[in-house]
Amino acid sequence: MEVWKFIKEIVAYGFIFFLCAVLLSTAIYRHQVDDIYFYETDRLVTKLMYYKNNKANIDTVFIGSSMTDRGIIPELFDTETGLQSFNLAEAGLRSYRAIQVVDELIEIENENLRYVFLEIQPQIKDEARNHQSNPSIFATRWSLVPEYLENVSIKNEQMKIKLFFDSVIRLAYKYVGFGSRKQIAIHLNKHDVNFSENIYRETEETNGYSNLDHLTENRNIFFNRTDREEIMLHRAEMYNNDLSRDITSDLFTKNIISRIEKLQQRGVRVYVIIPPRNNFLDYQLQQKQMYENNLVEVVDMADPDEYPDFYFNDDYSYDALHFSKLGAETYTKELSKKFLDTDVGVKVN
Amino acid sequence: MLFNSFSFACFFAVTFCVYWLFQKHKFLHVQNAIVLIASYVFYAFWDWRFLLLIIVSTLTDYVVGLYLPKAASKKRRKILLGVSIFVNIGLLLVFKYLGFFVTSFISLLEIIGISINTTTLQFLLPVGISFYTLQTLSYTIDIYRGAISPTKNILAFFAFVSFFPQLVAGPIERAKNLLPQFLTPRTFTYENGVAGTKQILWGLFKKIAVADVLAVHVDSIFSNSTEVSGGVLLLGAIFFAFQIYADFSGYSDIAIGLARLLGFRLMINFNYPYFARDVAEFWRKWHISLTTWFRDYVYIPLGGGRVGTYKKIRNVIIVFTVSGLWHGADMTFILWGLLCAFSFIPLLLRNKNRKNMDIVAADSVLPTFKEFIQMAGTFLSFAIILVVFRSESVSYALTYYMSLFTQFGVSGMFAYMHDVYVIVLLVIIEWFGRRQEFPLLRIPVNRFLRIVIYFCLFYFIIAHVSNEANEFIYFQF
Repeated sequence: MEVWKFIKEIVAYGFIFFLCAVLLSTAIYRHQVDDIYFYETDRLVTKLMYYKNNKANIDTVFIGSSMTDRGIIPELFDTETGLQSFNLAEAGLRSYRAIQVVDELIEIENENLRYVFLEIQPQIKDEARNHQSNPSIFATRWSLVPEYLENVSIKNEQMKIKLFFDSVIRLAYKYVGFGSRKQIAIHLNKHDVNFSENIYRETEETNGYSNLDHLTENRNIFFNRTDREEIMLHRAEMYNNDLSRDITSDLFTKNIISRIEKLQQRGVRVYVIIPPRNNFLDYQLQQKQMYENNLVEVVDMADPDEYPDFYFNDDYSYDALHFSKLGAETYTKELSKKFLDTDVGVKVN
Repeated sequence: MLFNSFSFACFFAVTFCVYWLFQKHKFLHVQNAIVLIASYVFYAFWDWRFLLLIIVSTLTDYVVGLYLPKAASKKRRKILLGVSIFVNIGLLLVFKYLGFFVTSFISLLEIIGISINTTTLQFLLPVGISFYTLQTLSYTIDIYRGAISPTKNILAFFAFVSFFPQLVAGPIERAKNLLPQFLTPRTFTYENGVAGTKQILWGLFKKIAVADVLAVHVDSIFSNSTEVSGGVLLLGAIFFAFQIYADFSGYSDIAIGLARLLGFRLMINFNYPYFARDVAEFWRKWHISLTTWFRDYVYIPLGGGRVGTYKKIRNVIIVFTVSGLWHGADMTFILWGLLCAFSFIPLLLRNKNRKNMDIVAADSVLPTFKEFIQMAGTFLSFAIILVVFRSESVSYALTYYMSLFTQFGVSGMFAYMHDVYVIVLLVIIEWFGRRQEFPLLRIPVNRFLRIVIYFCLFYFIIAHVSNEANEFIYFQF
């Protein structure tokens, strides 16, 4: 009968096509790093390499976005607490990438590590930057992220296994998303530590902290805005507003908590920082609840009643989001104070 | 359950096998029953409660259809037709437009200073209601006009209205074409099966490898329209034009292909519209089942083009506005309809609306320079108008247009260019296949090369498929 002939051919062609597709995709797989789409990974890798090479002298690490990158001064924090900290934050760090950085931290075993501070921004599905940068390709396929997180490994031999597996189910690397993980792995294998003279002007001496106060032109854009106060007021008000946006993810929770537990098993104490000023305060506050439910310590630095200057003191501002050097100094000192309050007797002399 | 999902593939494979187990003539009723059950299961996957609506709509038109020819007087016939229109349009109004009209009315009152505190009624939009309502409505209207005879076969009629390949997003079939196919025995032919499979392959390629890929860029550009250059905004409009075409025509191809595998022939819904040389030709090629529906049941009853200039313009504006409103209860769709009308009217007034009736560059490989410019112009004008269609509000669309024409420059365009190849691929394949119902129907190369081409398309589909199937744009209408 014609129908059975047709079914047999469809099944046969389907099988052959699928097999060829798998083989072809494995054969033509290649990794491309395009600087244009490569958002900040160089800086992150530089910091990671520095941390790897100097881990004996580092017992505290800050992982976070530009809020942390340009907000926490390790040198000052160390003076206040007696610890030896390093700022491992990266501008634009979102939840997915943050998990990857934590993975790197776990991978680079450091017996001296005692404290890890996390400040995590939400993954924004339609953020333009996410569509233009390989590291954030996951953002466009958010639903895939957790699934891959479970399988990704930094080790190259496992990447090959994963690569074949990936070929079977996705074929096209660039739409799948080992992006930053793979790129970090590649860079870690060939990268030299070189705090270049980039605009961030970070050096070994700043322990990863950077600030952009010297870019006065950019800074003035914010100060010339007539609605500056309204913007900051809005951000401050967000702290007490209803949490209307539900942008939490159970899978993200599962993944971040599992990593925090790994760190805790090694005797590392993990803190989550809720930073002030940011545009995702509602998300941060939802996260605060989530972390507290999972018995993770939270350092809330966002309360406008407690820290009005963080919102309304112009001298503390670089722009609507970031601190100036002066702001960063105060922020670091306040963070140190809170940290010492919550962690009794931690101060090391 | 979306066509581009694994669950649908399983569902269809089972339906296909069971359906063709009963191929003999005496099993026609069984085949129709299988189609009906499969269609209702398919529809229930969205929301089983909406089955009630489709049953009410179908039953009403079945009964009205039976009684229409028996009605003694014209008045009685009109009443019967009125019942059909009342029920069908009523359901559509309640479920699709009530919230919009109430909100608009309240806004209007607020403009003149009257404030009303009320809660607007909001209903969940039953998927496909805009499509099957028009389909079933055309049945009673055609009986009323004497164009077709009613069917007494209730099973065939129910299967016709709910036929799952075209239930949720068309093509909007006419009873004259599709219903007789439910009343005559269907046999499977190998050629039909192959043609159907090719069309499904082509549809999936358009949806997954073109529309879904472009959607990422379109979403990005439209959500950052105030921050990007005019060049990027133009790119956003062009991408969206290709996205919506690939999405909707891709769906139609899959629907037609699926129907073909079950032994049915559905009408062509898109006939290479982006190769149209003027707006009138474009509308003869774009969403054909809807445009011809509005032509036959709205435009012609209003007098069509055989009236004075003023009425001609009025009719065009009415048809395009209604067509816009059909897409959704929003001012953006109404404005889109109006803009389409205004781009069409100049051709109508100059009697040039039937100038390009043949296939473009029918006897040559490439178009002439003039034809190329005409096609590019028609496409661009449609792409620009589509910005309103994509916008969340009229004010957003206006801002987009303002930025498009004031934020000069091309900076940032490069970041969005790396997927342009899918458009190039689409255009090339369509251009060389434009003389056929769909481009893959007959590829004039040897068997080996044909298989290579099919494999490449298959590869593109798998390379771009995602865990979660992306919904088709037209499902929201």
